[in-house]
This record gives sequence, structure tokens and C-alpha cells, in this order.
Amino acid sequence: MAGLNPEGWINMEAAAVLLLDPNPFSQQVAKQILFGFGVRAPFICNTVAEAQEILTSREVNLVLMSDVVDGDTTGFDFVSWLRRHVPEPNCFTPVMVLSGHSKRANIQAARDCGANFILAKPVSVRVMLERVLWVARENRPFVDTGKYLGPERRFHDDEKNKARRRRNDPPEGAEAAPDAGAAPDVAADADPHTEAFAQGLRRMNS
Amino acid sequence: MTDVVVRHIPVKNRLASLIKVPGGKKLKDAVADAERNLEAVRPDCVGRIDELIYEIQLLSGAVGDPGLETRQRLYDLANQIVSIAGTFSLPGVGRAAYSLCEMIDCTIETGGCTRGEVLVHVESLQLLRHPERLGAAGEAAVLDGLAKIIRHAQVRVERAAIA
Repeated sequence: MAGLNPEGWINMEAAAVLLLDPNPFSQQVAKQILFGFGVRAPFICNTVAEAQEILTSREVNLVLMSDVVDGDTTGFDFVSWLRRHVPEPNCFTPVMVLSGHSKRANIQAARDCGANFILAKPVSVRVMLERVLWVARENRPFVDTGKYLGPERRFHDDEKNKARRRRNDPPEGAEAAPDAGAAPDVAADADPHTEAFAQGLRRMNS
Repeated sequence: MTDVVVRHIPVKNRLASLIKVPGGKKLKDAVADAERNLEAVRPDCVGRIDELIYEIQLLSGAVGDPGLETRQRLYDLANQIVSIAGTFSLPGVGRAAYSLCEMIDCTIETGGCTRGEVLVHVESLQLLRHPERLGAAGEAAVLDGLAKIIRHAQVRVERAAIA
């Protein structure tokens, strides 16, 4: 278990966890993982209205939610609302957003919503447990810049930049990566390529 | 230049104290229990993936390039597959579904994707649904083909933006 001490302990029995996901199947996946971690009775919400009702009336220690929540409301909008409009202490509750494909239009909102973590689906059980332990251990203050209200990001960004640099560095002995601005290896017209690939798929399927 | 006022707010992490209360379970047991729980819902979830692929196939059957409403529906269905496929040993299906989402999203400003581009994703999803028949090399070839389709679409979008 890379990153986890298998002999370590976690007690989620008394933790009030709110799960917000309108999709019954991805909700089921997250719920089963939470039960496995020992969460006793999570607040399961299918809609933003249900989650708002809980967050304004009960103490919640962890929010786990989908990036797709309700029609035109994204999960990122919901996190912003939580940070700005919910009374203490719930406005500071750690939030982990589970994201499928993120539309380009939402990328800035995802960065600025104030979530503690945004995890790409599908999330493995181990990664989920690592992140739960991480948010439970972290002691980051919140910052309010007017535009952003959420956990202080500088530490995170520095870590991410280091990781990005490591990923982009060529491995020892390898040549440097090709110029990122180089033209991709594609023909001028998309349709013949699509048709050729479609024919290849049909051959594989026959 | 406007000065930005940054307010630092110390926060008490309530979760930290809760998870340290004596009791609970070892981390290795938490992982094992969660994985066992997921096995129990595997049949339902894999069945749902099949339904989603079928719905995408039906939507892509119409003549002509998909309109905005159809593309939005295709995106939503594919994004549902992205959410669960990898959890149930179908990472190739998840990646093909992600590719379909990416193609629909990246072409949104330029009139959308073509029917042919959707159809190759449908066929890829159907092939990748059975990785045991396809083999690792076949799976890689299909995903590589989809990556090229996406790059084509991106080039088309970039050219449209320049024009």
C-alpha cells in the first residue's frame, strides 16, 4: 500500500460525512467506499437542495461530492456557496470533489472554488483513503482574497509544480521531450482519418 | 493598482480529532472492506455501463451530425461511464468515454463533432467493453486511434479560431 501504513488506524465511526452525487451508480460507488472505511451513517444527498438543508442545520466533518450536481449548477458552484454562505464551522469543512470529464468552461471555477481536493474519477479505494487521511491531517489556514475563499493554496501549488516538473523532466539517459509546440502528427483533413480508423475498428470487431 | 486584502483564517480541523478516537479499523482492513463492498455492487454497475453504451449507440444512429441537444446528452452519458468504468476493471471503456466527452467539449465552439467521430467512439466502447477478447495490444491500438481523432478535432478547432 504505497503511501499508506497498512498497520495504521482510522476511526470514521463518529465522522459526519456528507455525500452529494445525483448519479445513483457513482453515488453507490462512493457510498460503498465510505462504508468500507467505517463511516456509519453518511448524509446521502441527491440534490443541491438536500445538501444545503443538511449543511445549514447539522455539523458536517467531511464533504465528498461529484463535480456534476444539479442541472446548470456545477459542484464547483456548490463549493463556492458552501465557503461563502454557510455559517461556521461548516463553511470550513474539508471538501473533496470527484470529477469526471471537466468541461473547459469549468476549469477556472474548479481551481477557484475552494475545495481541498479535486480527484479525477475513477478514484481507487487506496487513493481515496490517502486523501481522507491527508485532509484529516492538514492544518492549512483558510484565505479570503475576495475572489477566493478556501484552504491556503500556496503549499499545494508548490507541490504540484514540483510534481509537474518531475513528470516533464526526461528520465535519466533519455532525450528531451519533443517541442510541445510542434504540430501534431495528423493529416490536414479529419474525415479520411476517422473513416480509416472506423474501418480498422470494424476489422477488429469482425 | 488596487491592493488586494488577503485575510488568513485559522481553522480547527474537526475531522483530525475524530479519526484519532480509539477504535475504528486498520487501514489495510478499511481498504479490504471497501473493495469487498464494491465487489457486491459490481454486477449492477457493469450492467449500467452496458446500458449507457447502448444509449450512446442509439443516439448516434440518427442521420447527420449530432445537434447541440444530442451532443449534450451524449456528453452526459459518456461522463457517467467515466465515473464508474475504471472502478470495475474497465479502464479502456472509461478512457474511450472520456475521449468522447473531450471531443464533444473541444468542438463546442466550432459547430460540434461529426457523426463519424461519434461512431468511432461507439465502436471503440463496444470493443473495449470486452478487453479479454481485444488483448492488451488491441486495447492500446484502439485508444491510440481515439487519441488521434481528438488531435484532429483539436487541430480543426485551432484552425477555425485562426481563420
